[in-house]
Amino acid sequence: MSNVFATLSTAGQSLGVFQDALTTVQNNISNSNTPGYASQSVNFVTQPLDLLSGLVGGVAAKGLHSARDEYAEEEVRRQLSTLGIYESQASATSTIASNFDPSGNTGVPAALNQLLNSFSAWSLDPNSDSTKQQVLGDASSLATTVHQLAASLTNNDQDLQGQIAGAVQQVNQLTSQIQQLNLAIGQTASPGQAPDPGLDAQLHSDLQQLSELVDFSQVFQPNGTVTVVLSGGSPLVVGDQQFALSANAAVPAGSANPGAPPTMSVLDSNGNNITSQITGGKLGGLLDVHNRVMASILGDGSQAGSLNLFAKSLADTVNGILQSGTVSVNAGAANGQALFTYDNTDATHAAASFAINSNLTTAGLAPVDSSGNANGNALKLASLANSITNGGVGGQTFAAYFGQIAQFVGNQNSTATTNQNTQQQIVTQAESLRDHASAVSLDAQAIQLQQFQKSYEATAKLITVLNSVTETTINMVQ
Amino acid sequence: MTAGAGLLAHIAQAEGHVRNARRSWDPTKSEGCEQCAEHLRKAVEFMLFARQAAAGGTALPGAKAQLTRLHHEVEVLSRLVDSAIAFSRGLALRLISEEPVHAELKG
Repeated sequence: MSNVFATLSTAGQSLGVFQDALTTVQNNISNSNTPGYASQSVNFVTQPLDLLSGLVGGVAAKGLHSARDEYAEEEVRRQLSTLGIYESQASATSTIASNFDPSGNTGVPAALNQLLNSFSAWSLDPNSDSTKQQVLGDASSLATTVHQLAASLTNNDQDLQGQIAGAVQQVNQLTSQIQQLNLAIGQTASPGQAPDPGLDAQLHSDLQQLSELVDFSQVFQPNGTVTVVLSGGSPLVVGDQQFALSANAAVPAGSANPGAPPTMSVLDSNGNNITSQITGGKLGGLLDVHNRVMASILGDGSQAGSLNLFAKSLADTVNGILQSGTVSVNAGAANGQALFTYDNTDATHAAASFAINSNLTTAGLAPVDSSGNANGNALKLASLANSITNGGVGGQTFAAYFGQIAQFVGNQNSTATTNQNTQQQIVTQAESLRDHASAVSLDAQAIQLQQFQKSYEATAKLITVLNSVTETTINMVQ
Repeated sequence: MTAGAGLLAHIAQAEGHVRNARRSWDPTKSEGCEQCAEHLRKAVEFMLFARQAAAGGTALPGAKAQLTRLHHEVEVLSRLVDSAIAFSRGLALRLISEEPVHAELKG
């Protein structure tokens, strides 16, 4: 009779276990679209059978097992972080590049070309009021385009500063959520059990979002909570403690150009500058574009910036030529006046303050050079179009130097966009590898791994050969 | 067919195979890896022909641009494969490090 009871008890227990399994399957289906959710399965444990001791055997449920593969998750986050850099670089450099017309038919190159043509026309008729008027008009147009470009880039720069501050705020929001989740997971954790699937899903979803913003490493504690530190080592979340970051815009103290656009930095919760630790994610990309790309054009505490150098050199060259001569060949004729003005109190202000000398009239323009040649100065100015004998910048003509600025921006955008497209494919692949790794058992993974590694390496060897043959052929083709 | 036209045709064939290699590349399926390798083998063959044609010294407008584009396509595929290799190596390390835990679960 006791055997009958034992059998009934075992059957009852088994039904309960399978009910648990069904509930778990139901949860998996319900959460199939929940961000960060990993499917769960019930761990079945066989029960000892010894009827004499009252042990009736059967199966029991011993906690839940998550299909999540933490290594694969980390790989996806790492690739997302790299994608974040390229996406933000591509977007920000695209905005900067939109200020430059690659055809050179509008903006500064066109206005500069127009002025140089006017100088040429003036050299043919140095005493003509109309050619002088043309020079003044075209100089004014060039000044306006340089000034407008500087103003537009300054707006972009300020917008970038706002985006950086916004990204830091998003990081803080996510790390605050992770800290709250750590607290909740810690409170509900039972030894040897997987954390609550819902909390775990939220935690992983937040970590994924965080990886799009910054590069970090994480360590999962046995109770399911996570410690998050920036790749450079500064903590973001440790247990139930959050370490908030802040964005700071300032020109470093003691800089050569105190009036320069500020350098953006990220500070840790103690106020230490940890900008160099942020090399990935959207924040890393934005910092790079602001502090490297934009600073090289508009300047910062330690450099004038290519656009300012262009404006200053152009003004100094043109003014120097005009002021070295006289307004006519007559004895006692007045010296020439400057055509352009700019604020020279700070090297980074040249382009934004670039303007035509408001006191100058056609009578103040000096076509005569210091040797008394009637059109000597006008010829020197006209020669700036294709020679650096009478002035240039960075060993190039003014037009070539400006073209180089535009090309630099275009190249930055092109590289970032290419990298973004490739990285998007790598992220998709990492997600697919993650899903694959999570869907198979560790045993199956170990078997497949050897097989796949051989295939990958064989493919890599073929790619190396193909690359080499292609490169050789490129060098052979004219 | 002239040497120049032959060169362009070989590069175009190689380019097509590299594109097919990219399309068939699937690091989670052995068939995907095999198909990709097969296309790459063919691409190498065509590029060897192309190199031979280029050795004739025929200058052809557009060949360099076509080769540069092909080089970029190979570069993208290379980054994908490298990424899969890095993933599988990391996974192998993880499997080794988790072996004791794994054995305990099975026991």
